Amino acid sequence: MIVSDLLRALSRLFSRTSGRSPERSAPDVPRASAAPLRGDDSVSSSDFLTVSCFLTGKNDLSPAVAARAYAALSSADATFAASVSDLLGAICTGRLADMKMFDDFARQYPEPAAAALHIISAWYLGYTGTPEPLCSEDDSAFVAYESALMFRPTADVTAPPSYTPGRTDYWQEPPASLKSDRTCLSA
Amino acid sequence: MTASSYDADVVVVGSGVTGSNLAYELARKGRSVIILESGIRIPRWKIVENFRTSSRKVNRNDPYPNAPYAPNSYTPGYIENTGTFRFLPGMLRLVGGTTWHWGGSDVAVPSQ
Repeated sequence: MIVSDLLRALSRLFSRTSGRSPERSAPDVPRASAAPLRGDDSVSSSDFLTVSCFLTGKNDLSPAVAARAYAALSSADATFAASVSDLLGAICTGRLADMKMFDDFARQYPEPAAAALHIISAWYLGYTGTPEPLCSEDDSAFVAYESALMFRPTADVTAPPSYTPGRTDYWQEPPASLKSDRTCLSA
Repeated sequence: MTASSYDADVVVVGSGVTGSNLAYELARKGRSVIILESGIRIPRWKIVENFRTSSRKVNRNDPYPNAPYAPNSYTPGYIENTGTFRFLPGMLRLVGGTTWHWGGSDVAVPSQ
């Protein structure tokens, strides 16, 4: 698949260029009108990682976590691989050249857009499906814990519940970045 | 006496806070005691690890064993309460019983 080769090259580029936003590196192709996206249904693990990097705007996602997310999402939805293939095609052809275009894209292509939200959700929450609070069985699957993206914004001051990041009562000390955080908020 | 034959003055069913305290007091008074427990013994670090790798962290009982031979109140098909509102207390099946909820710690509630 030529598209995946190109995206793999992009993926390698992200991994070398730290701090660069993947969506800005996507091909700058004018958005085409709604057209069938369905193409090759075969998806490689690096295809899924590339799509994940684009959708989340991160360039340092873990291949091991990607493998768990892909396994969980594809086992829950038989059409998931096709949706990933569609997303890859849309990213490459410029139909989804930037995540700022996502709402428009979702209106035209609801199926791959729904898959995209499931992918983003898995990376941020660290699980797929809907967990049941009062039942030992549900359709949820584990993807990640400490590396779930939702923990990144506060990673400099606290750790996800389980092991303390420092000594006992570490949280009593105000974060070192408090001053600059406040400046950011008031700016 | 064969390996599958046991004898004791008292057989306590369940190793939770009531059963284990009862067994302890009886043993201190010189009675022979057997405790029956349906669940497994599991170290604390495994419970922590189960929490970290659980996909349903909203389920506070998920880190604890959910063995098919020791069903608990969150197991589908377990005894159900009926009434005007849903009442589904969590319970655990392991050595130590439901005392293990919240990792076996109970933070004191201030009187005021």
